[in-house]
Amino acid sequence: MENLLALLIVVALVVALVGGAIAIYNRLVFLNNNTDKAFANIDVLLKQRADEIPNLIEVVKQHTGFEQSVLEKLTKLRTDFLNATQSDEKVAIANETAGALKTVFAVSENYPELQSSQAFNNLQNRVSGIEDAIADRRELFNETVALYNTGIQEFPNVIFAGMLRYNKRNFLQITEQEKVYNGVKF
Amino acid sequence: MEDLYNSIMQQEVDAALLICALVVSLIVAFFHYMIFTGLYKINLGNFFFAVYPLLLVVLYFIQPQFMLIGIGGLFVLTFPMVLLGIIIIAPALGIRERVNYQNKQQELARITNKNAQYLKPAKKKNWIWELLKSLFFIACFFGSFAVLGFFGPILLIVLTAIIGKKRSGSSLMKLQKSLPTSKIRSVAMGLAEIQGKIIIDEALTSRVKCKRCAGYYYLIQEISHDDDGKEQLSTIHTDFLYNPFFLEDETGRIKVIPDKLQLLHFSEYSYRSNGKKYTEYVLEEDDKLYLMIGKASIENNKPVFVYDENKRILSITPTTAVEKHDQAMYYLSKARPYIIAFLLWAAFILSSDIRVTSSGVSVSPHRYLNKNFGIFKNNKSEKEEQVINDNSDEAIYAEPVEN
Repeated sequence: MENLLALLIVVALVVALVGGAIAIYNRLVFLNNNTDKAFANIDVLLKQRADEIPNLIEVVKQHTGFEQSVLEKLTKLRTDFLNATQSDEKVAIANETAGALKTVFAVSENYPELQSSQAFNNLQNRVSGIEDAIADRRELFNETVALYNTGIQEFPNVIFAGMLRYNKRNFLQITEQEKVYNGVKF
Repeated sequence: MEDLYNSIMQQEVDAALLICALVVSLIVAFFHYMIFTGLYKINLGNFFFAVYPLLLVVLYFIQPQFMLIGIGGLFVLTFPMVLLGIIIIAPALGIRERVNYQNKQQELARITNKNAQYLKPAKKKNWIWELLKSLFFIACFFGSFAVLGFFGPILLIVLTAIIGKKRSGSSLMKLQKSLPTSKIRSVAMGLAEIQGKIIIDEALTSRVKCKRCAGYYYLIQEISHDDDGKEQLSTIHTDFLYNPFFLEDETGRIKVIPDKLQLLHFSEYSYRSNGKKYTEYVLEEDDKLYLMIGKASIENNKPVFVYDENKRILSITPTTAVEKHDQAMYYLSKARPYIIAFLLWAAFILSSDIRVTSSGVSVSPHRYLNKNFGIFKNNKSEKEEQVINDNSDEAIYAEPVEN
């Protein structure tokens, strides 16, 4: 009888430990997948912004005299972004594209006809909205990474994180390229 | 047993003894009547009081001494009847009654609800399964005590608390710990957490306070009192009505489609009248910030916030409630290791064999641990142990565990 009861207690203990382990495992998987999703959600907006580039070029082209080199650079960046497969590469191209778009909108101030175009204004607003959303999602990504990093470093989660080979992830930081302000080039 | 039978059979039984036995049988019948009606919930008719005397008379005419065996048997039967009633029957009936009541309430809530189609079908509980679970817990409780002494039940309670902790708390409170808060203008499709103020789209009027609101959850409860005078509330009607509304933060607003919306920790407005309590929880437009978890989706090319079928959640709660919850959890998580360590240590001491002798204090673990686990094994031989026991007159204080 004593052995049976001891067995029951051991079973209860094992059930509690296994239940706890499953809960920790599920939370870690959730945090990991959520971090991937947060990055993928930035990617979606970058793609949306890239998709607006042909329309922008089309509208700008209609106004003769606009700097051709800026538009060519923008086209090349879009193609590079769509062909890029690595995350780091995509982020680098996206940052460059953001700079190029700023240049286009800055230069457009020299073309009153372009400024008064409804289509151009709509595009400008749309791209600006996407830029804001990208900034929000970068912030959200960093929050997600913070939760993930904390999650995998807590005890006893750290044991499971080690077994699952979940390592610390890096925050999205402002690149050196972004920190440098070269002014608007005409 | 045979000696007892022989001695009874040698007794002289006359009419006076028969009358005494009949009186005693009426008293026993009264006790049995109370047990049957009180513990077994079996309503016996008044004819029950005639059964025992009749039985004794029949036995008397068969063999006068059988009447003595009969009255003795009926008297002794009282004890197993009481034990069986207290340990098994009464808890079983109580559980059955409670489970049936809960099932009826769930069904009533589903039927009386205008938006019943959004409610999950009530999962009916099985009272036999509930009883088995209770019996299993009782068996574990006493069993663990028998095996490990005080250490057992405390270990059991700690384990139950650990397992119970996982089940407690809403999905919202658990998920909000793992989800960052999205800005509304850039909320990504899928499971998301947002925070903002409620903005009414199409206003409703609440039932109790007649407040302008986006929706309300309303319930009527019947007030009753138990034997101890403690107030009990039983829900006799529930009703909710939510219109779509907006949640707005500094970046924008999103429309919330409130199908299967769950309100958590909302302020209660209520009044009592004619033995009933009327309560409502209101989705009102105020200065409070609210936290929502659900699924961001697209409807008519516009982002909307809806019920997440995968995580089964569309919940809203005041941000202050989340802050309070997180603060409480923080203090609990800090205190938990110390509480568990204290309980385990206290249990170990209580279940150990502590002896204070002139030569010092000796602490040996519980006999079960001593017998089965190497690290607790006592190196003293049984003979040496006997010597210690023989010298126990030196003991100032001894609290041996059953040996």
